[in-house]
Amino acid sequence: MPVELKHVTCTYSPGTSQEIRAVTDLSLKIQDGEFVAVMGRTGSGKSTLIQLVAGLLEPDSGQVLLDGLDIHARGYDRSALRRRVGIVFQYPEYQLFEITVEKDVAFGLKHSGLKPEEISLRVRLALERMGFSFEEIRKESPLCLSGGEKRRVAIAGILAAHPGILILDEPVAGLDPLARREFLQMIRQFQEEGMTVIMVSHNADAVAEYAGRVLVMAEGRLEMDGDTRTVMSDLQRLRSLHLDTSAAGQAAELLRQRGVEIPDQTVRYDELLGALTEMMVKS
Amino acid sequence: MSRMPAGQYIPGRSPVHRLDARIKICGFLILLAAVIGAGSWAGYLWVILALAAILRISGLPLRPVLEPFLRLWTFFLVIFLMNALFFDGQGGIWSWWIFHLSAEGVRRGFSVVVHVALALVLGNLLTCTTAPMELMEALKVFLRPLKLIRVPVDDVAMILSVAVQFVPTLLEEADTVKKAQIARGARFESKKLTEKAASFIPLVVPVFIAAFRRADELALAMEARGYRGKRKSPKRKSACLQAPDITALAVCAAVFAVQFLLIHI
Repeated sequence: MPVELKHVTCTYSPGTSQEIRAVTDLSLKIQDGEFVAVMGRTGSGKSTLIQLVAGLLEPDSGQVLLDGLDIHARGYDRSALRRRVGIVFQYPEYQLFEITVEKDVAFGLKHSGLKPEEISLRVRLALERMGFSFEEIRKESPLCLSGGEKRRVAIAGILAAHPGILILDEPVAGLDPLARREFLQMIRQFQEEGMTVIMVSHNADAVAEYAGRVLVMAEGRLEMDGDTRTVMSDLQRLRSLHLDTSAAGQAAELLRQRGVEIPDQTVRYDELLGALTEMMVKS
Repeated sequence: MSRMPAGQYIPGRSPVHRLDARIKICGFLILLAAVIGAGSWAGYLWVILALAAILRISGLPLRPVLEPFLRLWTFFLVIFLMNALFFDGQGGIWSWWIFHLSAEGVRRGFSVVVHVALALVLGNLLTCTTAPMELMEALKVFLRPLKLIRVPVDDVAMILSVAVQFVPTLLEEADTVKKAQIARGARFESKKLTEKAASFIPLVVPVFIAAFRRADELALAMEARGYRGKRKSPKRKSACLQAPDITALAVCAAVFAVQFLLIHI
């Protein structure tokens, strides 16, 4: 299910004095199974971009294509789109409302036309996937869980629909380092199983470590687009856009300035470590 | 939110926007009296002209100011028909069963509709050109005399201004929750009334929880900064009235005076 944006422009409150151009003439294509990170400052159009891809915002001009079909064309099955594209908003825990965890996770499948047995199977698998014991959690009230548990339940509710594309907005904000790593590894697992992942994040280390491709947004335009190494190793450009750079990339830059020969495009921790070990073995 | 609620503040720099909020409330009341007092064609024409002039000066786009009128058209239609058909029990032009269409009724219906519509437009002119916080500050000034009869004016004003400040935040929150629920398959566009009502639960529950959470956080933050309900809040130095304020008030009074003359001549 490749996603494609063609010359998309999107404006908030058009025609009033508070008119805001959120994205301008945006074109890009995301292939199946990619892990794409989206970076950019607040107000650069990241959220608009992901909501456009999820079909939650309609562009003023241009097209959003899924599988080559315009998702805003007349007669397009919007509810199938909802099941194919899952979106995890920032703080997804705030969307919980049902009486039990089981019901909340099943909520999205209510109109899917699936058989009840199939629905309960999917709910069980989604919850187990998120690290819960189904029997223990199913009757709990989602509102009485801890913050981290709530977030996992909310994500289970999105995974239960078996989306082909998973969009995440700042998924690791507010998680402790261990939970963050576990979470990102799980996302990578999904991607390895064939899911397309689009992740908005300010966390340069996470982006360098996990993404295969990075999009950088600035003032509603696509400023940089390329594989993770190319984008994340352009420290100067990232800094000029007021974005964070990965710790390993910074360390590599500092070492290079002191005459240590670190290969170009070193942006990940294990790469840096590898380069340093190699040097030590040589000497 | 793609669809802004009607009557919401629209920032601007027109002379109307810059007036003191207290003056705007006074002017609003005077003009409201002029609107209510209007009873003849000349009277209607006069207030419509006055409102059109203010709208023009304020530089507001027409749509948000006139939109409530369009949205409430069924309401206006019902008022008009009630008056037209039931006002004169003897029947004038046309009668059937309990319905009696009369010339006097039509006239009454028309006048009620015009009055309500003009009052709505007037109210919108006030809220569209005044920031909510300014309005609250001004209201606080007008409520001050109630302190004499031990009404906790400061607390009431604080409650009101906190409530007003939270409206945009909660709207935004509601929008996000709605999108999140739609994205996971919720349907808000069901035709059946019962289903429609039930479909709002996934929206209402999270927004309520969010409101309570925010209220808790704010209460904590206020306590942490030493807010005590009883203590006198530091009095903000109220700005002196400027020449434009006085002029505006005079103009409002003149509009009313002309209306008064139109009624009594």
